[in-house]
Amino acid sequence: MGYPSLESHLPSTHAPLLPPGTFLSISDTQASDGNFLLHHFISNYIKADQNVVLVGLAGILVHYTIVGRKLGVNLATARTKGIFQFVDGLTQLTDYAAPNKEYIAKPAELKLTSTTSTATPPTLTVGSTGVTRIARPAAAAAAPPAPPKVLSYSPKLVDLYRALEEIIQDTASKASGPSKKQLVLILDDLSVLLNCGWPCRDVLALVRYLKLLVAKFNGTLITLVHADGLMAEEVSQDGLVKGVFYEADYIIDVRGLDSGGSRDVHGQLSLLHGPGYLLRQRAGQVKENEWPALTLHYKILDNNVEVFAKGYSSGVL
Amino acid sequence: MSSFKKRVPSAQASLPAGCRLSAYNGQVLISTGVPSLDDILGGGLPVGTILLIQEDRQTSYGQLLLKYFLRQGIVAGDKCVVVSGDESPEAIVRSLMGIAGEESLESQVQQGVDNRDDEDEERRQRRKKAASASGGAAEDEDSEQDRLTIAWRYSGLKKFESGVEARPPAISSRVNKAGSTTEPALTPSQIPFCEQFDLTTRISAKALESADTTLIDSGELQKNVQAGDSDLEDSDDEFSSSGSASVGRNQPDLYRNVLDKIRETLIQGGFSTTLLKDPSAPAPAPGAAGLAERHICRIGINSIASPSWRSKTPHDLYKFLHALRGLLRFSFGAAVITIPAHLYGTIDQRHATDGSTTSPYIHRLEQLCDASVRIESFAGAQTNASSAASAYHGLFHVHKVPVLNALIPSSTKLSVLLDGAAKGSGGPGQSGSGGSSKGVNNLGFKVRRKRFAIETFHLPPEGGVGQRRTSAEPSSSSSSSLSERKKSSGTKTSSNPGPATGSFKKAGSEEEGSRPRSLGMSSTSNNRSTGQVDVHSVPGASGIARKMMGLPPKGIQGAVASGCSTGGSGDGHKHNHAGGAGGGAGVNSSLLDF
Repeated sequence: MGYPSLESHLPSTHAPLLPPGTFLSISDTQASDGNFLLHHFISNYIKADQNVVLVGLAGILVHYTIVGRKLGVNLATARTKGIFQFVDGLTQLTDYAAPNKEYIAKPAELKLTSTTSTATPPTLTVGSTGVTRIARPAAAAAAPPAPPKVLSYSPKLVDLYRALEEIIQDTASKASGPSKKQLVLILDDLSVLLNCGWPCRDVLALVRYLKLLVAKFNGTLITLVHADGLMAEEVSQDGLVKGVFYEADYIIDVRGLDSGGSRDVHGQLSLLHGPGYLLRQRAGQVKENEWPALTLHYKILDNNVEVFAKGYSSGVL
Repeated sequence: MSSFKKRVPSAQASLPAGCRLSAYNGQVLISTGVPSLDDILGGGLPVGTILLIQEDRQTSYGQLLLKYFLRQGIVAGDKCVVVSGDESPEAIVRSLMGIAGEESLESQVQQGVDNRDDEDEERRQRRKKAASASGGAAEDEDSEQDRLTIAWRYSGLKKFESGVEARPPAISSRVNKAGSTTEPALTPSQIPFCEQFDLTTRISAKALESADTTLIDSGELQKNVQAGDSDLEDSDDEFSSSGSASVGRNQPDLYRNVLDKIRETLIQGGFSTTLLKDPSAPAPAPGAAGLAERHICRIGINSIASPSWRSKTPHDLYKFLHALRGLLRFSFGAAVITIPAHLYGTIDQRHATDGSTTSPYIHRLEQLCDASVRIESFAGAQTNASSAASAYHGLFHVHKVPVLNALIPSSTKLSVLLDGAAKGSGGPGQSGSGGSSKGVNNLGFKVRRKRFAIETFHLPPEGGVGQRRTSAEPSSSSSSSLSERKKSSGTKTSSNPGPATGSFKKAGSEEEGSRPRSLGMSSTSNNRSTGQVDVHSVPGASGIARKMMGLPPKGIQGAVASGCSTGGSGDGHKHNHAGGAGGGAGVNSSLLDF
């Protein structure tokens, strides 16, 4: 179950999951990477047998699979079961990667190459002429799961949204059985979109659209964005962070300690209320003390993260 | 011969040449050519990652690191892709360093001499020689001094190390090589992970011949693109109209061209696992044997984003890095990129000396790379930190270390330099506590005559021990000297109560003279006014004079006074301060000679 010590501080209504229809925005800095929080939610949702759609704009599938193994979830089997979808937003996202297509192996030969080294297990890409082709995983057979979908370059972010919409609808429709499943859409790193040349306005629009889309499917949106204080000087970067925060229900701000590095405390987590939360609170939809705003310290271990109140690190006590 | 045999893991055999597995997360690592940098990165640079080196000003240590990386690639038989705009890539390859002791290999192996000589190593040799010449007793003394003499209870601790040594080279493989010079090819397992290089020599012509390099001159590329404006522009049309700052249409997209070349090299060399040279052909069955013959593609980019790199839009470099990362993640390749970061950012940022401040532009680049380090050489520094730390050539800042396939970067577990817990006295139990990704230690680098090394940065003891001893007064304030002082102070009181003029040296001596003068006052119980002058003259003296005296700056002044007063408790009420000095002379003088 993710990180137990963090779990007690998160919204408790749907524990260990987030309340559906909400948007959690995670911001981090370079000194303290917030990626570990994503692993928490991925493993929680997978263990609860809910749908996860992960868009890897900075990380690759292998990374999430290996870390998932450390946290006790098997993402490979989750993929074959169809509850975990990985979308590759790294290899073909920019126009620079466009000529890749002519070299991509045909799907028929992909299976031959599927057992290579530990360093770069073949997370193979599927070329497509249009936006993104949906490759359905083979139904629960022993065959290896189909390669992840790829977000390929398009000058308009709308196309990216359409691709994601298709994937989410696909995932949700598959899961609509007797028990309605929750869904979580995780965007690995929103700052990448900004860095790759899309204007801040468009990225924010994408976030808003995705939030509404996910809410339709009883889901939750989680995004990660870099919010170094240094970059607040840049208008677009600052605008992105503020804009994303404005959309959010919950905010987790990860940053290093003000006093510098420490061996026992890697950084601090600020659990904050977003405007969405306050709106719902006013409407009386939020239980008392559902998400107390507070600041915690954390320390990352090999396969766990310890979250504790300020000053309660093992180095102190 | 012991019956124990070193077990060679079978996985090791299937690794590409010159690689090793990370002890922490099983990542395939290649060496950067600098053992200490490998240590910082957690054993080596993981295959499939990008290391960004922010260059130093006015010196070229950044390029030196790049050269190490490429040279190590040539040793391992890797493919080297060199991209450069300012300097021709050919010149970079030609100026690579040689391998340490390549020429006189045989003799050294026979002698068993370790050829990693540093200055201090040489010095030690010299000292030994001198000692043996002067006689056995002297040598004994010398060796006694070489040993730790601070306290007996520290002698059980391991030797303090500020740096990381390379593993001793596999002598056996070298003997083989030297014995049969006709066949230079080593088996992959014999290629050292990190060879030892010698900055005083150049790469041999033979090594240069056998090196598998691809040179991309971005300056040339730019000219070509400009001359024959190609079809690229048409495909870019749509993009430039999509809202981002569109520059003139006739500007070539240099970064795209460079990336295309790199991609082509990766694909043609078969380094990519996803992109095949010939998609229609069946993929070759990858096995352990095929992997052992595999090589790594090392991409070295010199001074990217320098003024000679023209970009079409401000986002070119970001897109380039993002695409390169996507390419490398699925390839047997790694990249080291140097960037003149000091060209970006505001004035105060450029002059900042702490590692935290970089410009937003560079900061965003760091997000797109897996590891980022910054070199700050003292030669190019605006501050005069160099005078304080003459043993180093500059500071080495680690901004980001690769964290792949794990929650925490492997360097927090394995690195000695970043975080002493990994190998220090704490032991394995302690190492579980890890460290922050930024590291705890400050790092500096030295360029010795033959090699580049990163070490933990310490300031030397202020002034140095010897200096302090010579500048201060002999601490043996016996009664005879006291009486002499009395005399001198007596003359001074009569002649001149305000001796704050003159040179530094003089001022210092005056101070030293005037301080004991108070002793004289006390014994003769002179009028209080001169005593007052004495007290006031100490803060009135110039700072340097205070320093030369070794006087404590401010707060300890009170301690001196209190020490005096307690010492002279039996003395008169009025001359409490001065009178105390008589009894507290020992205290006082010891503080002076500190």
